[in-house]
Amino acid sequence: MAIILRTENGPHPADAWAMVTAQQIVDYDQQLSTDKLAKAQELREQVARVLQPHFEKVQTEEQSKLAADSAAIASPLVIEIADAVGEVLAKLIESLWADHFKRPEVQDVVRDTIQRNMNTIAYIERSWHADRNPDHPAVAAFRGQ
Amino acid sequence: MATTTLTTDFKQSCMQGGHNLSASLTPTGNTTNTSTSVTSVSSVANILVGATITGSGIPANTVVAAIPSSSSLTLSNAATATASGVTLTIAPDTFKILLIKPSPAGTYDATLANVGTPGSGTPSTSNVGTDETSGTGYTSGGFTLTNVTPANSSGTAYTTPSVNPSWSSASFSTIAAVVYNTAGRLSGTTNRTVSVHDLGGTQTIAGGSFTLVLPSNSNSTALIRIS
Repeated sequence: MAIILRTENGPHPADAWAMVTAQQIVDYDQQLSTDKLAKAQELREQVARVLQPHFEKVQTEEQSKLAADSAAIASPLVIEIADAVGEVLAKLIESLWADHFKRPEVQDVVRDTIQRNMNTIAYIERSWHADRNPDHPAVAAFRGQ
Repeated sequence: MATTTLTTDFKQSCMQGGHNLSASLTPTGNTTNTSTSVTSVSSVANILVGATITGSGIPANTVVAAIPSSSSLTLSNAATATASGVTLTIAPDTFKILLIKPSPAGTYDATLANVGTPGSGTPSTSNVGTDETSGTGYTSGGFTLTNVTPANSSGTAYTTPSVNPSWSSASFSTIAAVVYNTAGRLSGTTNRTVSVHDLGGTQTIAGGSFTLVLPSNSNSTALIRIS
């Protein structure tokens, strides 16, 4: 069904999100030839390196918003991903699998995957904030979601 | 034991209009005081008769009673104001995902028709009951999913929610997840199951974050697929 992320004592770090997202985007068969397998692994790592600062930014920005005003916990979850998507696609279409990653439907999946995981890193910050501030009025609305 | 599958009840009740997995919709339209007609609706795409509809001048507990044309809706209750360009919020069904504890008494496969009363009662094909996971950071009933309007490609209809299910400050163990519909769209029966998902063995978290990273939303990998 899913990849499971577990992190003790806090939210999942940005590098974990970057790697799991890269794993979903650059999904390859271990039966590839040795040289292609190496290139696929390298591409996955490149995508993860591109994504990590973007996940860090979303995470720290959400932390800052919540620290400034706990009421932000109930605001619509709107995470901008255009820059992250652009940089990832740039890496993908210069790879060995450029033709695959140039297909619009594949790029839609890349976009969707990044969006879901960035939505979640922000959501998890809200969840931990709610845990630490259970009596704030906005938390009840958040928990009711 | 758990088997990853759509449930039989989901397949049958889909055929009977029992599930609306669309995302929340926000077209605009014009309301007229004391009338059930909403005109100049910007789009009726993906709107389901029976869906809850809210907006300025629309009474509480109103649903879409009919879709008479591509630019109009009929409400179940008359509007209380005349206004143009009213934002209409049309809510889909609310789906949730709950977790099953290790060594459950029940069998989690296509035969699970209803999650029943999670956390309470004897497990059966119509009640997850005491087989539901419990622990710090886990609220009975599970995580509320955010719908993504289903798409289709190469003969497969599919959807994956837009936020991964996650639990914080969590301490619990689980072996499977069950997606279900809290709405009672068909016969008034709430909590109909959608799918069961084996998590590949006992998964444990102690005082931390636990997230099910859902598969990418494509016709070959999406969480919910019908081909």
